[in-house]
Amino acid sequence: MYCSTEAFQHFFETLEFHKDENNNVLLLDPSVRIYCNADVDAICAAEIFKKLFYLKHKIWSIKPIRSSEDFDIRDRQPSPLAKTLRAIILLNFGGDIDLGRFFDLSSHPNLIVYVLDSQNPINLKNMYKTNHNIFIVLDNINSPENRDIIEKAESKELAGEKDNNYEMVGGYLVITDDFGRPIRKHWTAIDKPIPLATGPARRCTHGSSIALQTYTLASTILSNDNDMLWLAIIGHTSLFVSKKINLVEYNKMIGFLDAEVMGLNNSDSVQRIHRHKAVPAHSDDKRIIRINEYQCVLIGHWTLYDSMLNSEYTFNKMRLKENQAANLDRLLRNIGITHRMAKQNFPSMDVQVANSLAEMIKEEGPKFGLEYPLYSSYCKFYGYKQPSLSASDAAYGLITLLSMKKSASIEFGVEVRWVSDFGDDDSWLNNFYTVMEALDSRTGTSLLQSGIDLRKVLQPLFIQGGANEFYIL
Amino acid sequence: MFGETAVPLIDTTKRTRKTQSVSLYEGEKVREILDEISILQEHLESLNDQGLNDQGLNDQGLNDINSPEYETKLLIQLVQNHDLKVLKLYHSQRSEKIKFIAIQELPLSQEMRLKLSERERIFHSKYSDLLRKYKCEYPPSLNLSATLVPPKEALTAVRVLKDIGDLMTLNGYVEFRKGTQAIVRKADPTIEKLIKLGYLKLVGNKESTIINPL
Repeated sequence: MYCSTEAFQHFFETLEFHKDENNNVLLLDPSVRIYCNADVDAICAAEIFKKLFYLKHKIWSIKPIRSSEDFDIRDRQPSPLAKTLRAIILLNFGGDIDLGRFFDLSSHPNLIVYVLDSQNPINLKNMYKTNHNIFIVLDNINSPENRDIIEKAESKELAGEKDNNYEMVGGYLVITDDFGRPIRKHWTAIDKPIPLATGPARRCTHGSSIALQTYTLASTILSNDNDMLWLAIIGHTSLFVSKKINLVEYNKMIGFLDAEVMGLNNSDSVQRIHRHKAVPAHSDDKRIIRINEYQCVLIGHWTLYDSMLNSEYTFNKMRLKENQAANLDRLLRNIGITHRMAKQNFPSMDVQVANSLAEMIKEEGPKFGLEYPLYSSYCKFYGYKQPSLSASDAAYGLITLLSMKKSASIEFGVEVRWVSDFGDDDSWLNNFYTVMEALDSRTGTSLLQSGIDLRKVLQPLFIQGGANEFYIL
Repeated sequence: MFGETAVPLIDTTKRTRKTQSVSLYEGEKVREILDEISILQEHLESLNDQGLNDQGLNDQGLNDINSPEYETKLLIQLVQNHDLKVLKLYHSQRSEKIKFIAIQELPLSQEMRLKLSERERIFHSKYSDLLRKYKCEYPPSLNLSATLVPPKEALTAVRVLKDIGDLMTLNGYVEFRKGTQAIVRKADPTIEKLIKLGYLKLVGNKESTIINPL
């Protein structure tokens, strides 16, 4: 079955203690099991869930996963002794698997599986009404893609087994797979040109950030706060910086995020400010503010020149590889920035130069292929003691901590306080929990900063395509 | 020179004063000091055999304060006392740490066993038995080995470092699988024990609730 994010609220309202019918005992502390995919968006969603469960005094457990092979028999068949287990939540996992067969919930008739998956295609069997304890959470039920999936699932469920899974697609009888793709034509339709699907099913477009969906749930039940909002912003931004969504899809949620930022941070200003003007007002300033961010990697922690030279957007659009960065030099000259100024750390740049940079780059950038050099983003303050971080800075830092081997930080002399609770065989678990610790708003900023420092060192290698040996496989 | 034999042991005691783990037993140094004490005792007895009273200073020798025999005896007894104090200090520091291990119900690993002397192992075993008999008199819910620092929160997050399986806790039935993170009650004796044994690790907790000398 499926449900909207608003209907997901019902889950929290019903997650109270209940009675063990067999022993007539009242069971307190209902528990929830979360299976979280190893990506930044899912980890941010998991962190928001942890905060929500903490506020509601619910017991949770989290297991990191990369694929279905990380599930063992005890995951797929919860023990009958675990009577307090009320729900399983799958984050960025499970949408494409027939969950009715994957899980054996015969000993838990009241257990419900919720799936928030924005990266895998949806297996239509999970949407069947007969799977009454599997819920696919859809962010916008009325969107054309979701309506299409719902209709395909309903027609496929109606077709059932008796018609050998034949369906009407575009007026012709075809056999479809579990994702509604035509894979074989019925013999009467053999002369009709119907494109058949080959290869594994893929999602046409990446769904919206599940961290954002989880935050929406939190705000619906009035349990949202600034930390959760920041996690949602990071999750959403991580999809953009890792090219899973484009700028148009990214901008669709900006209106909602702006309203939340203004609401939770008592901001009256309607205008966004430029990145270099984002400075905290006092030593305890922990606000989130709205900024115009450059489409350059880690510009707030680097020189302007290095950031533009090593950002995928500018590198590709200005064809810096072919012309040996001559275009970049020309652009900076046109803007009125000398080489010496461009080699200064961006936060330390001359104020007048920085003020004019945003306007000039918007004017001159399109001549060099940079049509959208700026985009709407957010920045979080940590008082005076720590530098402020933009959402893209945080996203880059977390992506680096999640995907890089520990040896990369040793080789490049960047001190990172990696989690080292697990051996080499499970080193990806160390990375997963390092990211979780970096997301802690009280203690994780230094770890996040070291992730950013590591990214700065590795970014030139990424641009040149030579950093494969440092990735965790 | 007499008295210098104890200096290395004093250094060791000073150095390990603030460490939480028990260091390797310095049997060699202890034997040297004991040898020194027995040599000094022989000297003392030989002085007594030369005509002075065994009671030493309480004798006419006390009145003869300037006699060289008196000075020698005093010096010998000072050095002996000093050596005995060093030995007592060294052993008492070690026995406090061993008692702590026994109170916390921490298991004695093979590595730790090799660091203790034979008598210390016997001491640990007998002390643990004594504690166990004492604790038997009280209900299991009264955890006498619990930390004296009260928890600031009822629930805490733990990370499972090794596969434990399924256990009954105060939260009910919990599956502890390697690599997972879960929220549990901090005051649960089962959870405390698993943390001490190294199966679970407290997460995001700045205060160190249990000092593990292992």
